[in-house]
Amino acid sequence: MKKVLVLGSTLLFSLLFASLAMAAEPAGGGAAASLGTFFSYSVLAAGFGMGIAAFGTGIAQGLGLKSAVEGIARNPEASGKITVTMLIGLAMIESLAIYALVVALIILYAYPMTKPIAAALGFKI
Amino acid sequence: MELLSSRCMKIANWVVLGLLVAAGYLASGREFALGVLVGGLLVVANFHLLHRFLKGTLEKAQIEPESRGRTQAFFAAKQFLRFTGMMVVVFLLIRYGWVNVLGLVVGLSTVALTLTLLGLNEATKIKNKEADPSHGTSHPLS
Repeated sequence: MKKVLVLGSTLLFSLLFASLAMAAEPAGGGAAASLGTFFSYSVLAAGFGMGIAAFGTGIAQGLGLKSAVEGIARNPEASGKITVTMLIGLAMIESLAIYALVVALIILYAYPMTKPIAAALGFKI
Repeated sequence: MELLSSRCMKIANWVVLGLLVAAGYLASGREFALGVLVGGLLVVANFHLLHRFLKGTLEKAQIEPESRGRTQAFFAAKQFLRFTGMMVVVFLLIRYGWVNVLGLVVGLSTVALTLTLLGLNEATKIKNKEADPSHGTSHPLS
């Protein structure tokens, strides 16, 4: 438990300082730095979003699968019904990971606000 | 026919996909409908593969309990490959802008929407059955 706490707080501080470092503007490049910050945060958001989604999906699918296999081991005759229920659960859980993936890819490659933000900062993309 | 059977779910997936494509075409045009179609095909194919892998793994684990570890490893590998394949296709679709992104998201919701609708239908049926006063007796109540 102590190790987890130490690891968590280290991670939190690293993230905090990383964001501060990225938010710091270099002298003489205000607009470019702002655009750089915007893209840095986009990449961070995509990465963390997918990571968190994968974490939750992995845990949820593992728990579902574990319970289903235990159920089938206890009552093999009910394997058909358990399989169908598990299929529903796994498909629903997986759809969340797929949504997170799509949103992460949209942020990285097809974010609709990229051009307006770049234009507002005086850049042409 | 039982609604929450795998066959019924597969049929319902295709029906919902057809409805979504038609609605998308009528509401937002051809490009949006193409996005819905591609996303829907992707996720329905993914669902079929998931069913096949799951069925195969559980049947094999029951028939050959001694090779359970190997079966589990194969299942994990298949799951990984399936999701990687899906990821690559979605990446290419979004990276090169081959389809409408919003349509793609709607199409990818096909299976979730179908399962939610089937679940709601089943829950309503159970609720109605429980609320029926004649349920469980051979004589209708007047």
